[in-house]
Amino acid sequence: MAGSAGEALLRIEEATKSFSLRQRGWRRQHVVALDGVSMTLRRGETVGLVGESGSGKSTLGRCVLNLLRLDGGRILYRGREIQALSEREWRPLRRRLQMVFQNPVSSFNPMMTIEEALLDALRQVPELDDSRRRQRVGELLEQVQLGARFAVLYPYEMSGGQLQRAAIARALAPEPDFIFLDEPTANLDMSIRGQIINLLLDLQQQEGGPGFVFVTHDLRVLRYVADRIYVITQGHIVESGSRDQIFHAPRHPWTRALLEAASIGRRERRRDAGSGVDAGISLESSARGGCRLLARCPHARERCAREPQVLREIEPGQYVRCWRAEEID
Amino acid sequence: MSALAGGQTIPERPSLLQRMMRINGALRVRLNLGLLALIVLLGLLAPLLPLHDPVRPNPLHRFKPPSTEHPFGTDGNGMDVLSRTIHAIRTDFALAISSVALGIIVGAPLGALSGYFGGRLDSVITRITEVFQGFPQILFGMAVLAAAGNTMVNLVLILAFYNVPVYSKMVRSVTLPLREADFVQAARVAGNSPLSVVFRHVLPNTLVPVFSQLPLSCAYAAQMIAGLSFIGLGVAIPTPEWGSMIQLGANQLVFGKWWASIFPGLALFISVWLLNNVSDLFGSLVVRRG
Amino acid sequence: MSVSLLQIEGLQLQFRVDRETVYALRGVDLSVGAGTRTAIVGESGSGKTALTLSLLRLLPPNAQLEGSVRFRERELLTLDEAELRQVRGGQIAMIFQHAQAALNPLLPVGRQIADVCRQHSGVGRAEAWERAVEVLAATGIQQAAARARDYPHQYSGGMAQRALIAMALVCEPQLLIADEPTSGLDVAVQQQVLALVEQVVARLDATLLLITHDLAVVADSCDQIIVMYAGEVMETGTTAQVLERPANPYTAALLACFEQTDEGRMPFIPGRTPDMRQPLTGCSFAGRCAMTRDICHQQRPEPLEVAPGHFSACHFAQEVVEA
Ligand SMILES: Nc1ncnc2c1ncn2[C@@H]1O[C@H](COP(=O)(O)OP(=O)(O)OP(=O)(O)O)[C@@H](O)[C@H]1O
Ligand SMILES: Nc1ncnc2c1ncn2[C@@H]1O[C@H](COP(=O)(O)OP(=O)(O)OP(=O)(O)O)[C@@H](O)[C@H]1O
Ligand code: SF4
Ligand SMILES: [Mg+2]
Ligand SMILES: [Mg+2]
Repeated sequence: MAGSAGEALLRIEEATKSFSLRQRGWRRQHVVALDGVSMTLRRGETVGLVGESGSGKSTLGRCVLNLLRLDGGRILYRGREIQALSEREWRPLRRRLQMVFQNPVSSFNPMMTIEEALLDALRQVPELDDSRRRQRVGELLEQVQLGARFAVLYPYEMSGGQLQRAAIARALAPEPDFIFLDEPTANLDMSIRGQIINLLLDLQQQEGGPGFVFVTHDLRVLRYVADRIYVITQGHIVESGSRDQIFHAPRHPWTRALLEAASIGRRERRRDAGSGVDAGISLESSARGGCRLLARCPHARERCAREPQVLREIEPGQYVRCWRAEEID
Repeated sequence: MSALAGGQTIPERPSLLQRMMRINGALRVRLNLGLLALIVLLGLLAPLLPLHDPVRPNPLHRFKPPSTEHPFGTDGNGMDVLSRTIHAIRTDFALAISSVALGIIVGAPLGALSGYFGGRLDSVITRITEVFQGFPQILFGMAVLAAAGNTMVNLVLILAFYNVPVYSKMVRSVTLPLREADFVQAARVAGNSPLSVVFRHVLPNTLVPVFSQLPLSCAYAAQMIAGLSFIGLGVAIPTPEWGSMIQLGANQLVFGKWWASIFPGLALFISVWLLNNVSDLFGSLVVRRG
Repeated sequence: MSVSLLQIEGLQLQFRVDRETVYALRGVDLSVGAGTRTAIVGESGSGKTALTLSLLRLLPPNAQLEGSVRFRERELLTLDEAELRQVRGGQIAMIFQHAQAALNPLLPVGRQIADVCRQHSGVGRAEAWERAVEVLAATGIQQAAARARDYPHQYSGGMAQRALIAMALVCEPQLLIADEPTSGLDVAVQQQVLALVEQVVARLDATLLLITHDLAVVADSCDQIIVMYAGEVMETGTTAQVLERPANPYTAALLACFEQTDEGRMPFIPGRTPDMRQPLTGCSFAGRCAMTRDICHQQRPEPLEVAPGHFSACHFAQEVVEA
């Protein structure tokens, strides 16, 4: 885990993004995937990003990688606003920001072998000549516990976990400063998961190691990798803080529910919840104006429905989007 | 970072040809492809076979019925029908293949570019291809050949002209969903320029439907060539070509001199039939994989 | 022991890749009881997915399969295409590992679920659509009626995964195979989805075969465990037997990876999976096992019954249990 001292590598300021779905009747429907998300990442730091399914994590990654345009807000990489760059200015920065896509299978071109895919990414490294690049492919595959023999395979000839590691190798190939890791270990067994996490930690420890945004549902992994953690739901950051703050003193009801859900056995929880819908998940989104989580929050009061919630600092470095944060215990 | 411990090296990867061979799994495809290959081979080897000269007229032997000397008989100019039917394979296939290839080479990239970039480029390309497809084929061919000269090159261009919109439309429709595919996004992250994304990543992935359409286009082109030749355009008489042979012989059909047109007709029919079969089977293979 | 629903004997699966052979399954013998909920866990690349795809013969053309798979006393490996199609979807449903890749990108998600529903139960278009929306909602997708009209690329990873689960559930199968169905889902949705799966499985009196890396899920949702490594079954037994008293060094090593360490590095099993292109002579775990002795390299261990219903393929299974 890298020291906290370091320049800001990446700053996300009030990022918003919505998608319009199909037109239905008179009005277009929208999905708000990001709603005023702000985040900073220093060199050699790992930010853990956790949140429910569909909360906008992958969308954030695509925006940071300049694959999607934001509707509002800015993303600064070393002080330069990436979405305002022209194609020519952006080009040399491209290799500095990498991503491991959530779905390993669909992120590989089915017409290319793994070697071709890695060489494709290595073309961005002008220092290497062709024979060095091929050698580098072998090294990268070794690093992710695969070995050079996997180079000749097509994506559909590999298992889910093998492909996921190939995806990590591809992201490491151009020696980036930043990697958005979208569930990079979801398909790995616990032993290889450990090896991959250790590899990432080692890389980060090196001089000028990369910064990571690490999306995961595995809190155990999060405990090892994250320096700071952001909790996101419905496109909103509801809490952020250092790893210890989030794990030991979570303040937001949603963060607490998340940690609790992971620690309690499912059987018991389901029994507690009775036969009906799980109390933690309600299907309607909440009323406008008030707290987004109103309908799903066991601590809700009348005031929650009236006031939109804002992020406020309740401890040094810990931000919470809930007016009751201090009261709840 | 050990430099490939234990001298592990990356084995050579299979060639493009080997990769393409992986798709022809089904026996029936092989059978049809085999017969087609046989026909093409026959055409290629024609000059080496012990056949009569296909273009030497012999006024003394006009409309001779099939015999041991001339197994398919002779035509109105006294030329050997067997030899001409076999030599015509070269003409017809060469014309069909080159026109389809040209159509793909121009049409597929156009379709990929228009599908991937969308916007104004897309509407321009789509509009143009629609206009192309609006022309009635035969009439258009007749007009151009009459105006620009009745040459083989012009014939190929006309047929290619017809194939361009077919392939650009097809590739465009396959490109649209690919634009959103993760691997295309990943290709951008890997540093590909927009053009390189289109040509290295999107285009190769649209080729499966193109390949399944290919034999069908060839069959269609062969029919068109024969059709144009039949009405006296396209390939001029001494050159062996099925369409013109059928036309020459057709006049004599009513007098019982069937051989001069039946044999080239049969050859045309069989080729078109095999090509259609292969196309269907390719198509069903593709569907089953998806 | 319950009646056996699925009986697998001597299953060998090889893939040909450019003149080389990948030995993906090296003689698998298994029996899955009717009504059980069985977990398959194991190393990445150990053949878990390959095993389940073999059951339905959903294998690519470069695969070669030998052995026997009997489903309710019926041999599956000799069925013709038409019979097989009835079994697939109808009696055995599958939730594929790669959700987004398993959905058709050209059709709205709801439409795909409705199609499956119509094929299976022959209901009308409108009713099938309603069923689709209903089951999507039951997997926790918000505004399901509206989202059903969306295309797969408009779904987040977890939503696509849930759509695939919904699709398998409308088939009302006798055997449900789920390949890492919850790996991309947050804990709350995970629980909701698992509860739904369990509920459907219970209602249909069906059997569940669940592939997962998440032992918490296994402990909660399954009563039997199959542990795989390098194309072989290493250990089988009840959840309690395997998790509490593992009889195979691989299982023990895997379980040790779940322990919390303080040094800031995650635990792992040193060494690497054997090259799947080589036929094995001894035990597949021999290179990495702390207990390895000469016999491990020379002779392949047969499954030993260390307790009733608890088998382990290790020469020293008894010692491992007692340790
Ligand atoms: N291209 C798109 N068109 C329309 N809606 C989209 C698109 N991409 C994402 N969305 C929607 O935006 C929301 C956020 O999606 P996103 O993929 O960012 O979620 P996520 O946090 O990554 O979830 P998961 O953990 O399930 O992967 C979802 O409701 C999703 O349906
Ligand atoms: N079509 C194929 N051609 C060649 N090899 C293949 C093919 N499909 C799978 N394999 C190989 O077979 C082995 C088993 O793969 P399988 O997908 O069953 O693993 P798995 O246990 O599901 O792993 P994971 O947990 O990573 O998904 C792997 O080593 C893989 O590389
Ligand atoms: S503001 Fe109210 S509803 Fe929102 S999280 Fe806090 S207590 Fe719950
Ligand atoms: Mg996601
Ligand atoms: Mg798998």
